Amino acid sequence: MTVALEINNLEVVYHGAIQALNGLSLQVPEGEIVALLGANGAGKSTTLKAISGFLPLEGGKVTHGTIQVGGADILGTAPHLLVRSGIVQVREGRHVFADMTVEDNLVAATYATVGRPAARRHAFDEVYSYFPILAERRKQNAGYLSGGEQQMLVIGRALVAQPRLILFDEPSLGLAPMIVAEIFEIIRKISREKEVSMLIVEQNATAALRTASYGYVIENGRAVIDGRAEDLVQNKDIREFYLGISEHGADRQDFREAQRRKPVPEWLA
Amino acid sequence: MQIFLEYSALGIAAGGVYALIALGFVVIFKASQTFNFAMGEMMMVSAYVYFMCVVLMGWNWMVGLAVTIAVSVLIALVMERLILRPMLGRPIISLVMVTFGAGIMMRGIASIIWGSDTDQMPSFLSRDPVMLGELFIPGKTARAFAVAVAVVVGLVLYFRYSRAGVALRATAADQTTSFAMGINVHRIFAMTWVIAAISGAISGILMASINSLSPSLGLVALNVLAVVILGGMDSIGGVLVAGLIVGWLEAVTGYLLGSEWRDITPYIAALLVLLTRPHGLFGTKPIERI
Repeated sequence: MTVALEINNLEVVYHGAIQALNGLSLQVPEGEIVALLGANGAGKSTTLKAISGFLPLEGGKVTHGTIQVGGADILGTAPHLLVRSGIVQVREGRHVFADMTVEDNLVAATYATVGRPAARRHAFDEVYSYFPILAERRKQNAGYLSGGEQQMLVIGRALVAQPRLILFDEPSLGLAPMIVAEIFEIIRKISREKEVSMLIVEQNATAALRTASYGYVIENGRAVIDGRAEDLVQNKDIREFYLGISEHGADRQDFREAQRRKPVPEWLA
Repeated sequence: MQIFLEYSALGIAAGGVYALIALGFVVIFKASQTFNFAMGEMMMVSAYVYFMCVVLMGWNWMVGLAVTIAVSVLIALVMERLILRPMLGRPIISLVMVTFGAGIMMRGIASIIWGSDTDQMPSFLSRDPVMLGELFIPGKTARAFAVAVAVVVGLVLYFRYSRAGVALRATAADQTTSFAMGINVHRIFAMTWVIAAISGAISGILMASINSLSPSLGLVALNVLAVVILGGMDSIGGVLVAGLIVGWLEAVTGYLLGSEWRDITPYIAALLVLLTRPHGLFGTKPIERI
């Protein structure tokens, strides 16, 4: 098994004071989808920013550890150069260029192929075949697309970049459940057909574990549980705290009772 | 009526150069939200460089123009790299003050090198008047208009349809996302300074040919402020229309109300437009999703 992304013992500090990652290690096997789960502030987004080179822009710094993509060290590479080598981040909150047309959004993404042989027209057709709705709206301003369509557009932009590794930050954020299912279906399809490795950061653990083959739960900046997705879905703590499935059958409990009944596990505290 | 039309034509012709100057402001503002107060001085220095090439060295005007544009671009790139880039991420007011200071320095240096007297610029534009039907338009003004509008329209089309234009608009909209898509944002900033340098060089030479050359040539750029506000700070196409409107307003109010009104009417117009359209005539209104 070859490894697309390997993070070893990563430590990240913000503004020289706040420790966001504390010895995180994880692997994304070639062509696989890996989910990164965890509560707010656990360090999920920080992990992605450390990979994609955006930490310095937010006052963060890697103080220890290594990040390798395809065996090559990438720490300290400027963000636009990482993208041009096929490591593409789909940022949280979509960030379409609202005043530009759908097609111009894709044109902007072609900068990711600078220095690589690019088949631009072909890449757009591919995006439109994954997302036919975008083809219909190619001349519309991206700001007038629905939330789901905007998410499709940013995934389309990532496709234009001819990625070998895509880092998704909360692709389900603010979307209706049906749209979420559709988006994850396409993500899986892209990974399968284009053989792209993916690391998906998600709060929506159900959707993420259904899509990924492997998952990590991180807490306080380090991985506390990891395993194959189908095993994680069966894990009692994950079922209760991430999937919202109670082990106590149908008897509904109020929040106070639930707290009394079971102490929060250490990795969640 | 005949005189009114003649003044109108004259004003619109002068407005072409305004549009070209305004373009230099807008393109930088669009990418980096910085107002370049040294724009006028960039024009002035370019005009002097051209003056040196053509008058002191005796070169052909085309060689002079090429050398001037090259020198202006070089100066702009040095300014961008040494003065502005280290200031990135600082409050906008600091960036603006830096350009202001750079402008004052350039004016001072120009006075030292070339003296503060007024020089006569040899014009490469023909003096033969242009007749538009019954209307008489002075040759230099008409030809300066043609050159300026050609350059503005060329740049507008370039930014509308080229990939670099898409990158500029992307950078203007969201720098971090542009970065994340492989766009070298720093290079886009540098590109806007190059465009500003070119528009500054050409408008500087045109201004000096129409009027005369002195270190205070650049002050005209401040009058263009009204054009930029009127057109919308970030609208490259808007400056063309606004430039013509302001040129026309200046000429017509100067004729109807007396020259003391000339300088303030563009600002009154800008104020009125802002009251009804806060983003200017063609400025970007942010799309709000509910």
